[in-house]
Amino acid sequence: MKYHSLSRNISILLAFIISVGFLSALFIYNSDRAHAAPITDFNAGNIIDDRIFYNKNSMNVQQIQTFLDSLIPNCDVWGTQASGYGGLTNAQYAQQVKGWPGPPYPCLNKYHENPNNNETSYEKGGGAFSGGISAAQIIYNAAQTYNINPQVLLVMLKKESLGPLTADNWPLKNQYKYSMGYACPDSGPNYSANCDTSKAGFYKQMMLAAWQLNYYKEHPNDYRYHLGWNDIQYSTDPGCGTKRVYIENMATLSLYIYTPYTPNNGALAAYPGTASCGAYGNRNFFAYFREWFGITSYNGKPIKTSSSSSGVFLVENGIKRPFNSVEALYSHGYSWPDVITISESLMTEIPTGAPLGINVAAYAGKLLKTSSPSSGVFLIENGTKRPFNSADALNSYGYDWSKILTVSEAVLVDIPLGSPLGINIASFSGKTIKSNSPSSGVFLVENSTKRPFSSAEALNSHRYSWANIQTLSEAAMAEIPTGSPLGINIPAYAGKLIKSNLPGSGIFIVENNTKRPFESAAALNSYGYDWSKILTLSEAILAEIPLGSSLGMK
Amino acid sequence: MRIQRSSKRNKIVLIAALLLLASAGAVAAYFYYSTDGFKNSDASNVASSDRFKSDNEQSKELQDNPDNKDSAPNTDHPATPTTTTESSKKQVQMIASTDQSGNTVFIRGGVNYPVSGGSCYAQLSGPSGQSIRKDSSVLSNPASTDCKTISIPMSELASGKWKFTLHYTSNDYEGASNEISFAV
Repeated sequence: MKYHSLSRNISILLAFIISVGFLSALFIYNSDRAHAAPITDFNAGNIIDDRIFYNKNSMNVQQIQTFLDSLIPNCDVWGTQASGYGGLTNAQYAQQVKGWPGPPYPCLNKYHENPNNNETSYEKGGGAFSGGISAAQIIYNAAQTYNINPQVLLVMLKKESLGPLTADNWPLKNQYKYSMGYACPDSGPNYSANCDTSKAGFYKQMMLAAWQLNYYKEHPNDYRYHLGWNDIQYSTDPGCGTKRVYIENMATLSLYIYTPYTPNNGALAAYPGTASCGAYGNRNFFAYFREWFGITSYNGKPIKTSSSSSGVFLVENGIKRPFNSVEALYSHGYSWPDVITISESLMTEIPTGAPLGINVAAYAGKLLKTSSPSSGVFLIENGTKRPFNSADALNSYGYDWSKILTVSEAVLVDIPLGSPLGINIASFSGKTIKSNSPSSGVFLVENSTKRPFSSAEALNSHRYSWANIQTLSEAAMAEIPTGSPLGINIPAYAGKLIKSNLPGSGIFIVENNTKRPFESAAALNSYGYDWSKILTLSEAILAEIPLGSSLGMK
Repeated sequence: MRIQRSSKRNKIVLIAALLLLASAGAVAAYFYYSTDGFKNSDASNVASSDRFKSDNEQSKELQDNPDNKDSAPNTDHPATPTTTTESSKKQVQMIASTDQSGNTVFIRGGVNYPVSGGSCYAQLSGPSGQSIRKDSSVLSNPASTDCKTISIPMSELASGKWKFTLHYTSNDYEGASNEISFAV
């Protein structure tokens, strides 16, 4: 007995520990596997554009077939593939374990049905048969008959069918019966299906769903929601509250009538999972459509057709506006990979608005010119193009010539002309300048004026270097107002002996900003000055220095 | 005594062995799942790389659990009708709203449940206590049922505050919305 008791306890302990280990591993595995892909751009009021939703020509039969083939590349029609359960094939698993019917299991890309007598591939050899039409053809026919985009019907199929059919490589016939969720509400006990058998079958489901969507479009005012403001429940549980939604178009209205809930932020963040108070029908429609067919709205997107002569248009508020240049496209923040190619017929349907020039703001602060040799250079500032008066003007702002953008004439035409840009006088402040004329004087730029040096000695006396004088065009020079002339800098001669270049000139010593004449050569000698150090200046310069008291013998 | 010591040591060894076994089980289970333990190991069954992510995931889910053939993912299940002692009919949730355009008042709403048949009506009460009933037909949807919008010309309504409730009734179900007010 003791042994049995111990054995039983150990067995329980063993089972417990293994269970804990197993569940821990499962938890870790599932945590790893939960790839959150939150939806961040779901627009509750515009889930999909009308032009996309009702574009019945988006795919032909062959394109639908090719798409279905890509979804289910490996259909196990005869259930011969391994099921993963006890070495059984799918067919064996279905029949022996689940009690489901045996093969064939025609996948969506293999399925055919005769709408006249409801015969399907399930009774007719698993594939095509005389009188039967393919699922692709059925989808296409429904789309054409009721003016619904076949892509919408494909997404609805993925959203509504058991499995779903779009991912099942050995579907049961039962999955086709109410594959669009039409006439088969979960209104039986415990959400069990409560189906109308007269509406069963893939063909009927597809046609009825397309009919229903078209009916909503034709009777937009009959239902609980309407175009404009609506309060839409977050979930089937009214306690979860409502969201105020402005329904912008018929397609979105139709989706809300078909599935009358809007996802909350939790449901969007948890995609493809679930969240408290979440609703998923419209969320999944949006996500699946985007995943399969790229976009649900052309609004704000650049479009073109496949024609080599097609222009590129930006769709804004249901109108397509042609970009008038490649630069216009780029200036609005788009590039070629962003441009969506649509059919000629759809392009024709979208009304054309005013051309779209460049977005001037995109060029703010940039230097532009055209490829014309005579093109000026412009600075884009405050929504205008400001021409530089001269190369000197451009340089005076410190711009780098290598950064000038060469654009088409069309771009420059789009930008209003602003006031010209002269030279930036402040950039020359404290600098010496002259014009490129041989007879030009030299000027010091000071207080936004150019002050002419009265003489070469004056320039020297202010200690400016001849080598640093900047040469400007006459036009640039003319832009700078002329100030008072600049004489010599007397302190520069302090303590120096000076005389004029005229014969008979006296000799002076510069002291206290005056020139003091020596009364005689003897007087000069009495101070011990060196005659060889006497500077000879022009009479005009000498005249600039006020006369001081004379110096006699020391 | 010796026997007891031996028994204790055996227990310790046994528990250590069990813990080791559990760890091994955990590791094995992890790898079992992460390498698609329930999945068909046929390489040709692996989804092609040009399929979309959600399709691959749904395909894998179906292979891992064929019972999913009986369910649609993330279905918005409508609230189940309830029973009360006061009525033999099941009670369904209803919503209602109103808006005005031009000289017309619209009463909209429906049943948050896909019922078939039956009819709707709005029961209005006016500022002076007057009472009006407006009948409406039923429009079926896959996941709900709508009452066809009731349009009332404002000329039929006296000025002032009005209230209404929207009702649905059939042989099996009935329901009424919350009371809603509007001004004329």
